[in-house]
Amino acid sequence: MQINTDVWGTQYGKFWYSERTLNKLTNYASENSFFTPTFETETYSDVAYSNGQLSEYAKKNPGQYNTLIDNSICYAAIPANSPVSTISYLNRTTTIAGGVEAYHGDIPLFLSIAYYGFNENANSSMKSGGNGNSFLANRWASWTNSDIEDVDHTRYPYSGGRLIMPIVKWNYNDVVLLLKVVVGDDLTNVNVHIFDLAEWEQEQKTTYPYVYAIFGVPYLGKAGDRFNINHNIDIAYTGWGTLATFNNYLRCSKNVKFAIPPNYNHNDVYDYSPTIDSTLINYNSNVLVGSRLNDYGFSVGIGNASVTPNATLDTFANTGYSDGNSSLYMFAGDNTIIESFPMGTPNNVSRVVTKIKDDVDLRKLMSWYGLQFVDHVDKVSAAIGSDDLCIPIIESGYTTGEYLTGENAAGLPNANWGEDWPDKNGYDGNPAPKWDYETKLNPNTLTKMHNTFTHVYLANNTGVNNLANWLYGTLASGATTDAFLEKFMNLNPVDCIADVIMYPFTITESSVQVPMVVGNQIAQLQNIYYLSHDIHLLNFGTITFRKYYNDFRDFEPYSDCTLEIPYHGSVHLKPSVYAGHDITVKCIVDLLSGASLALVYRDGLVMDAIAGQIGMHLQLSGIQSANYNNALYAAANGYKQAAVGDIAKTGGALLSIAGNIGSGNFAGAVSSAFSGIMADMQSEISLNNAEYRLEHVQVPFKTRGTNSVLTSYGNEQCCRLIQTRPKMLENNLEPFAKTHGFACCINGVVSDFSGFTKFSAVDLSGVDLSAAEKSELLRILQSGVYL
Amino acid sequence: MMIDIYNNTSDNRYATKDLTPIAQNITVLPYDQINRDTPNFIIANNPLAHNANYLHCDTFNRYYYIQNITLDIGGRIILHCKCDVLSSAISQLQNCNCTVVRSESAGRPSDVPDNELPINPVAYDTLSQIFPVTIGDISEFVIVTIGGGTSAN
Repeated sequence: MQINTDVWGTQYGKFWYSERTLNKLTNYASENSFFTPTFETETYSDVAYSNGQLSEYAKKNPGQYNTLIDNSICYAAIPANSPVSTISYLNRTTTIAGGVEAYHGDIPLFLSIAYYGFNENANSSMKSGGNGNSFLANRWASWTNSDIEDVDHTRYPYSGGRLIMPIVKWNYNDVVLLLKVVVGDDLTNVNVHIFDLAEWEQEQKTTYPYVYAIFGVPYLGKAGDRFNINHNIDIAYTGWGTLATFNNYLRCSKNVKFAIPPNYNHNDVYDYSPTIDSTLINYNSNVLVGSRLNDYGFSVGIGNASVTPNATLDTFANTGYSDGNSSLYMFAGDNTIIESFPMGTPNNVSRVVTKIKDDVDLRKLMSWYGLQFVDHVDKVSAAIGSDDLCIPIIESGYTTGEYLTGENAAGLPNANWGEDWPDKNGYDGNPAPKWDYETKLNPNTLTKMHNTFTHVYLANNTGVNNLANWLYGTLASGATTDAFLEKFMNLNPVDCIADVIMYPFTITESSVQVPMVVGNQIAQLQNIYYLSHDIHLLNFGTITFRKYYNDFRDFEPYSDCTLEIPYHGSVHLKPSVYAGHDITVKCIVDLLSGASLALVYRDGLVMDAIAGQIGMHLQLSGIQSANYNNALYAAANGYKQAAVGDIAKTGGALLSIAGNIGSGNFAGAVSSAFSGIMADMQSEISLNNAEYRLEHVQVPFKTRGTNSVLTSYGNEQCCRLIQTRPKMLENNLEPFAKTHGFACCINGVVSDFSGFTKFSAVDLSGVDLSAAEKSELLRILQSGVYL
Repeated sequence: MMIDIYNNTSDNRYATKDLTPIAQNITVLPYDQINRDTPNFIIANNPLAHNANYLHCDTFNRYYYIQNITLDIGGRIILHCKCDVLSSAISQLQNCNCTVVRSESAGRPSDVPDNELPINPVAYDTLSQIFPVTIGDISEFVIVTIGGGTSAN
């Protein structure tokens, strides 16, 4: 998700879902939930609603739907009664993933579109398959049949087999609001009439002079071919019976445009008014756009509680509703826009209602919405540059309540919001080509770099065990023939294993088990797989480096940031580089050495790299077969020599006895016999010793390499971003602002400023003072004055 | 020469002063030269003027702080004044080009470092975020062998 920083400034992050939304996604059994448990049986497993999966998905994937479409404005399309409608809440107190701390972000423009009134009755009807179900199905059918170009329909089936779209975004230029007015003829008639603004101005204004509300009907599509997404709906306004209802239409940003009648009573309009969950959802495909709501103190909710009776027009009505992390906003009327009058004849005042003042420029009022608009249905397909198309002026993220048309409008930054903002931003339209790691490291395209002199395999625990057992088991079984050993190329078999490296993540890409080459042996082992590539890209995912203060305090030296990457240590990140951006960490792992290079991305561009070692070399052991063979040979040779000596000595003794007998020397014969027996016994002992040595040759072992240090395995196995930010000594900045002002560097004319103002330079031309007085005046201005 | 005298409750730095009129169209009785920047205005005795601290002189078209008041012989009052160039020129100042380095109307701190903002010099908040992907749940092994010829890899 990218925010167009040229328009919005750098203070805006992506939007997150309110805690309430997440709760509703999780607690499907609750009254307010839309999904039924059978949703999980559908095929969209990535966001399937099952045991909170969708909730978890939402927590981890804020605003990342349809990323190809312009991100400057977050759009949430809202099928009525869907709990995901509340995704349109851009909440500044949502708990972030990981649950460490609340997020205080800012609020970009958002658009929510609802099809029809959102209330509990309809919700129940829908869940029970009642009428609500059918009319909603019709609306969805209109979606599914639509052929809006470049509108990414992210559709998810729900249990009824129909489609809903939790989030849909459009290009800014693909949405045009048709400005309509809700008008009346006199004060006694509760019926009201709806006209396009231009039609009312030209034909109906005299008959129906009172404007109770305005609203925009969204038309979608490219210029020249836009249509109303709500075209199948007939709206029965007159059946609602009270003008108060139409206050719900008038919801704009910034300068409070929503009127609360003084005698507004929630119960009076309950049947068709928003419930707690629909306060921000307009009826009948109208739009709601807010901009930086909290900055204007709209900490106001509406719920079942009644609005305070007799609330004045220029105050906000606080109903006291709060669910902790999320707030609902109700825009109270401002008496510069709204005025009240008694409805009914003077003697029969039924209630006091409100209308828009006659001198209010309705087009400017509409401009607070921030979206393109037209004043007549015939103009909805107008292109940028046309005098028919009004484009609001947005400055530094604020709607201004002003708009332009024609060629002037075509030059507005928001008129040029497109799908390629991420590339345009910061590169003057000529971005430097990025190194495409995904493609370069794709196993399908990567050229294998290891050569045919070595062979690389992938194994799990079982595979490694199989290899070790094979090496030891085969030798131990007696297959130590020269022929066998020669296949190890007369080396120790373990010398044929160059390395075994353990990785703490899944590399497996192929289920094809292959025979293993070990020297000239072919080992047929299980769980040994083909490894297609030498390089592996490990992705730790993406988070957003959020600003907190949205000012200088978010940057160094006031704030600091460290990124801890497993197996790579910590890297210091400059907040000025990363604040407000997405941070992604990916590691390029050399599978043959275990070396890794961690890449730290800012919005897809590598900004930092840190080297590490993620593969752990294991110590190998095996039989020292060369020495073993030598020992065997020596023992065998000793045995042979002992055997030959034994035969020689026995034969010599017999010849000596025979010689003495032949010469009549019997005493000598006896002596020779005794000597012979003794010699034979000695040679027998030698033979036995040689035989023992032959049978008890000890098998020598050897080891290769050493185990790598494994301490990193005990450390956290995910990346962690740690931010430190300053605390304030005093949180109430209002007195500070009045006595010090805020540091800035703003050029303008003096009348642009108010309150405490300190100048660095002023051109005093045109001021009718003496030179000495001007010098004195400049000194005063530079020391700070109140304007 | 006519002056209007006021009671001014505003800080001197306010371009538009909060003035309470005391007496209007008072005739000044010049008996000597009057300096435009730091004039002494002599008026007839008027007890109301004793509490004045601010005046406007239509002849000079300027506002003045009354820095001191002297009761002169004959019941006259001498107002020792100093020109308030800020209030005197504020209407003409409105369209002057300027660069502002501190502003209340900026509404909030900006990206410009503000050394006057009451930041605690020693206390910090720490926030940590965890990336979504965790490794370490499984181990896989890469085995490198030597040998030639008959390779399936």
